[in-house]
Amino acid sequence: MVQIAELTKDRSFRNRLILACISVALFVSVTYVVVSYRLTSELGVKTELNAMNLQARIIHNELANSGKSLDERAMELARILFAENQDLAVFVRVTGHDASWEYANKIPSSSVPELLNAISQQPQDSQGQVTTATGDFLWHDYQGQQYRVQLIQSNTALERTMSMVAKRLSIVSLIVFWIAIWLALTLSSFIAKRVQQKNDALAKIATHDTLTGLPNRLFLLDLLKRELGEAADKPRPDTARQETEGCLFVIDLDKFKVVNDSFGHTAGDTLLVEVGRRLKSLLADSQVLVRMGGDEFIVWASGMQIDTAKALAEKMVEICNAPVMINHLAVQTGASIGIAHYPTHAGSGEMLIVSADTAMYKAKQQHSGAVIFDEPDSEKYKASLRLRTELAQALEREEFRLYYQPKVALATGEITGVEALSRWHHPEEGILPPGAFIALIEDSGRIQEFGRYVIRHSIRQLAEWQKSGIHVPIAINLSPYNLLDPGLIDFISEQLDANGVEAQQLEIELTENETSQNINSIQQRLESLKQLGVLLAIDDFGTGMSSLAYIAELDVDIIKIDRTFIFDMHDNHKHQAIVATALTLSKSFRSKVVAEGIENREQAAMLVEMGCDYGQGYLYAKPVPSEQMTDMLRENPCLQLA
Amino acid sequence: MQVTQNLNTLDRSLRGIIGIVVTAFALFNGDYIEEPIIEILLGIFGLLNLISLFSGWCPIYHLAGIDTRSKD
Repeated sequence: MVQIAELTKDRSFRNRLILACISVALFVSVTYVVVSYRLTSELGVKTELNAMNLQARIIHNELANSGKSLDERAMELARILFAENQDLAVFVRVTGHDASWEYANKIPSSSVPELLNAISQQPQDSQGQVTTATGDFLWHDYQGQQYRVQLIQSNTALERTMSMVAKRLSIVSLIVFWIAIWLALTLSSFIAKRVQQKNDALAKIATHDTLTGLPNRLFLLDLLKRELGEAADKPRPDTARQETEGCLFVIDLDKFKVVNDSFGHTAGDTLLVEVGRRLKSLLADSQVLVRMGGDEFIVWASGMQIDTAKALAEKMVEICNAPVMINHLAVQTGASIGIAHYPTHAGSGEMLIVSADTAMYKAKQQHSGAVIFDEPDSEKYKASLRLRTELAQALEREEFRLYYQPKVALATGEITGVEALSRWHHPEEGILPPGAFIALIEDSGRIQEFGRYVIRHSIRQLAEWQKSGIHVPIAINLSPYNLLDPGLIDFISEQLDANGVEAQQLEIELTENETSQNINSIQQRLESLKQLGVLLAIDDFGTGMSSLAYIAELDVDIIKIDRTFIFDMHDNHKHQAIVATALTLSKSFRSKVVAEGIENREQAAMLVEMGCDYGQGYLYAKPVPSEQMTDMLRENPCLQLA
Repeated sequence: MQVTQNLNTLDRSLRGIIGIVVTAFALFNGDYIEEPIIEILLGIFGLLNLISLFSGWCPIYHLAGIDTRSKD
């Protein structure tokens, strides 16, 4: 989602490109000016020094070949050579064997000794450049046959170069710079435009569905994050929160699969496009229609309240119910819609979708078109989500405890066995019944681990009881998933051996419908269990998808008649008949019968009369913790008589 | 190339001033520049700015897709 935002709004790219072009232009201009300046000034100095060399030679030759006195001739020469340029600072000194002559123009007399000193340190008959406090000077020292001529003049090449630079170079570089900016703007905009086009196309592909052209899931999540993100992430005062609200609709087509299967995928696609078009026609521009994939659409209506949402949803259901022509056949595809409101039903975009999804499933189950999300559903969902994350820790910390409910001989009230039932001693939620967590364990793939946990604790309990002289078998409930555990048989036999417990003390109760469905895959395991000596029981007999053939094949030791047939057997003759049949059946199979859910004496008496030997239920005892069960077994092995 | 105005008033008047000054300098600088090539370049630079002044349109802005007029 972050990537999409980057794809769509990358303004800095262009600015950086312009900046880079301008920097390069600036660099080129500066380099150009500096190099040109240095070149020109160097050329100037060289020319000047050449001129001075010539001047020195002329002065020497003229003086050497002249008949006049040194002063006289030298003065004449100075006038010829330097009169033209009166502004030039010049110093000339001619030194002969017996006479010397000096000429100075515009040169500060104080700097002359310093300059001469500097020159005298250099080898004779050379030239160069020297910088003093009063300025920059060029000098030439010529040693002729008769005279030594020393020429010093101020370096005007620099000044002339400067003025040239100011005039031409600066104007040229300005123009170069200006052209560079043109280039930078044009180039950067071309490149940026191309990149932007590609990015837009990519963003469009990434956030839109190719079939219907509608935005997709990614787009929706991005949108919700932008609209609700801040509100959801940071705790804000309630008043601020109120500003953002909206309704999210999850729309699922009821008969899409049928259309796809019977008319082919092309027909399914036609249907989706048509439904998308119709839904879109219902919506205002500010409301967003998204195809989540498959036959699921989502509408996000920002600023909408629940009442309005309900009305809109009904319109959507209606429009989806209108027949669509596919292959010259009018096909009617119903729609189920779940509605969730932000911030009433969820605090974040993702939770909002989950909430609306939950509502949609409810609508689908009830065939009721549109359903608004219900708060308790969300609470349940959140709680189960939290419990799911806590499962692993709970298993580690042994937060699951086994409770025991006695099974009694109905005739004597004697406890003949106990059924182990798990309870989660949750540190915050308190004691949770299996209904609250078994499904979670199955979903999270820890059912085999949990099965072994129950087996280990039961066998340990059996061993403890054995030590205190109590010999009562424990029945545990296992699901077929447990039986798919390849190491289960070995695990049970190891545990039994380690604790010195007889296999007959352990009963395994299987739920009938699951048992029949998975009979082929688990039959082997069940046979191994029987060989081990563990007793098998059919739990909740009479409910689920009964198959007597399977039960016959399983060869079970115990049949437990489901509580639904017991609780109203005194006035429901059909249930009475089923109980009687189960009893007859068990006699033929030579298995014991246990009636579940006995709540009063009347039921117990009736069962005894019908020939049922064993029962369990609240009449005798509720499931109790192991310590209490131990006490009960030790003190009062005879419970309520029938 | 379609000529549509893409300069706002400030942009246009700035270009106008630059255009007039630069063109005038190129034409009437006397011997100051001493270089015909530079004078020609300056002349072109000034002329382009003058075109922008009169038409309210900049070819570079056009190519670059910049528009200072329509936004404000």
